[in-house]
Amino acid sequence: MNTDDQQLIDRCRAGDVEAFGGLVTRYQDRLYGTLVRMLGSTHEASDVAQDAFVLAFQKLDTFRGDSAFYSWLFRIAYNAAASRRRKRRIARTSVEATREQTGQEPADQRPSADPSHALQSQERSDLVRQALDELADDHRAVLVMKEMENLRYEQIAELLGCPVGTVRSRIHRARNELREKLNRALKAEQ
Amino acid sequence: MLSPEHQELLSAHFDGELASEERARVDTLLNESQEARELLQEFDEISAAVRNVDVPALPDGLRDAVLAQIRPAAPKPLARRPRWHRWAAPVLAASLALTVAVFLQQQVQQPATDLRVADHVISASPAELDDSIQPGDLSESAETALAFSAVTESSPAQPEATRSLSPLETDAMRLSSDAPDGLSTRLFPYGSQPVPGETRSLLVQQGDIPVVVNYTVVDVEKAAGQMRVFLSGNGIHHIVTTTPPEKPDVTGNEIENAPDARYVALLVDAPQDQVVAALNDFDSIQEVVDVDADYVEVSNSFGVEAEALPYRMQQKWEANDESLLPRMEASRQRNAAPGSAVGGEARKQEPASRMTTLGTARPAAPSPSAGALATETTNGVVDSPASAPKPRQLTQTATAGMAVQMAVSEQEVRQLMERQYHRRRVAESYPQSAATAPARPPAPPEPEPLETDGLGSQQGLSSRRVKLLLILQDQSDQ
Repeated sequence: MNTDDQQLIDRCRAGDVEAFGGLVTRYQDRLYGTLVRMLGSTHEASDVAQDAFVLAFQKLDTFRGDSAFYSWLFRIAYNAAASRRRKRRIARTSVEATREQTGQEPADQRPSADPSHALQSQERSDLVRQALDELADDHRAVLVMKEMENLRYEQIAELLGCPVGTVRSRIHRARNELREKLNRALKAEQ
Repeated sequence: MLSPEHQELLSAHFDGELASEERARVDTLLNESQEARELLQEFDEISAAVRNVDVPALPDGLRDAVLAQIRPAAPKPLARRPRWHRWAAPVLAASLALTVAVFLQQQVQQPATDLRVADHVISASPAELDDSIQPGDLSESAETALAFSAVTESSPAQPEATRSLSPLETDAMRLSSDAPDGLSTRLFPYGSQPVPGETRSLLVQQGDIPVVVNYTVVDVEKAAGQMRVFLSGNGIHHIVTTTPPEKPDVTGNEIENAPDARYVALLVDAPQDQVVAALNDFDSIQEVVDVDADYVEVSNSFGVEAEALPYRMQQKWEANDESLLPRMEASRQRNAAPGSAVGGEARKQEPASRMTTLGTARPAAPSPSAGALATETTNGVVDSPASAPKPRQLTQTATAGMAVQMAVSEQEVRQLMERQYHRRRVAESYPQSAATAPARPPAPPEPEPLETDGLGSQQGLSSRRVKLLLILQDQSDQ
């Protein structure tokens, strides 16, 4: 485990609550980024991240250091997100949702001058996120875990409580579905 | 076109999750298939696209918000929690809903038991119970039980009819009725009078477990009225009785009525199957005692010891009512049927096994407070659905007499049964009830009609209309 993380954790356990702020600062962006992709909402992601950090602090005594702190934190966050998602479905992307999530007006859907760089533009970024949001929850979750957190299939399976084969299958289906959605969108643009 | 299996292999290959054997297959595939190579490239593009999704910056303040939540808050004053909360919560959670028919003026001295009663009686609403009982009100002993009344002014009146009693409830009820201070003393502290529909609570001890018994005061006369309506609706003839005068029972012994005792009993006449069908819904009736020839020992029939003296009673019937003779013969035939003991002495070997169980009947509690339903044919012949094989005609045609007892003493049941056997006396004693009895429909055709004392029968009744009648005898002293 990261030495700096361990020092901060030790200070927290010694009663220095402020030390936990260092862990928050260190991992909040990464966690938030993953949660936005997973949940499709910045507000949801922010709330879940906050809940996850608080829970992590409360459970800090149970953290044994067998894994990286962030892996442990992400596990907590994922469970919090899953719980929240069960309670309330995330509204699908719309003009309003796009504005809420990005703080910007919906992207210009005009085709890019250079199709080979389609997926690298801001517009395409919005397109990808929309396609990502349209995936089934369980498909999107595993794909985000793989792509954003680079978790091994085995780790994802443990987190989800399902067989490794299921993870492999879901990731494949998620990629295929995402690929088809993006291809359709790009063709429509062209 | 790549197969789904190949596509999945390529996806796993892209993630570096393939075993060596699968990896070899994918290498071959990539060497041979342009499509496979293109798909792998697409996976790479998709992966980059997902990672590069533009995410709005994290709003400021997450760190502060987290720290604000995890910083230790100022210590809150601990709410005062009486010690008894430790056991009161599960007790209250497990509180038992009982309906109790309460009789105000009965004065029956009860033997002392080992039930302990606390010194204090507290009046409180159920909502206040949690806070009204202070540790000082209870002794430290687990044997202590506290009696309190819970006067619920705001609670709606409870129906007289509620539900069946579980064995635990029965035990609790027995505990309460056996309390040395008497049930009424504790139910109505400070001389307050119960109001029908009023919900009260009683905390008693069952072994080491405190038990809260919630009960509803029931107007037994009203309950009897409900029962009467129910029976009438099912075409069942009935006679309502109240406290009868003391009189010798059929054996000539003086009946010891409790002074000023109040009770209500219903004496009904109907075909056995009709009665059985109609009363199946009276699920609070804990037992149905087939008194038949055991009638003479009916005092025991309300407990588990329904010792039989059939011959004695049959002889009595024969002496009092010649019309019973044919059916007495049928009774003898039935008793002689396979599986059934013959004769009085043999029947004595057959204790409570002849108890008829209806509805949710359960083994009788050895408490006179337990409700009982006595059934028999008009000639005293047992016609129990649970009994041994019977002559067909008897089952179909016999008119059953049924005494529905509500907190009726054993002696009083004797009187009821006596009246059943001597109908003219009943009619004379209760002319009003007889006059108000519903017109009886003609009896259905019967293959071998038996005399029914002028009481017809009605088949095909509709039952299951009323939920119950509760039964508890107040045996308290005041």
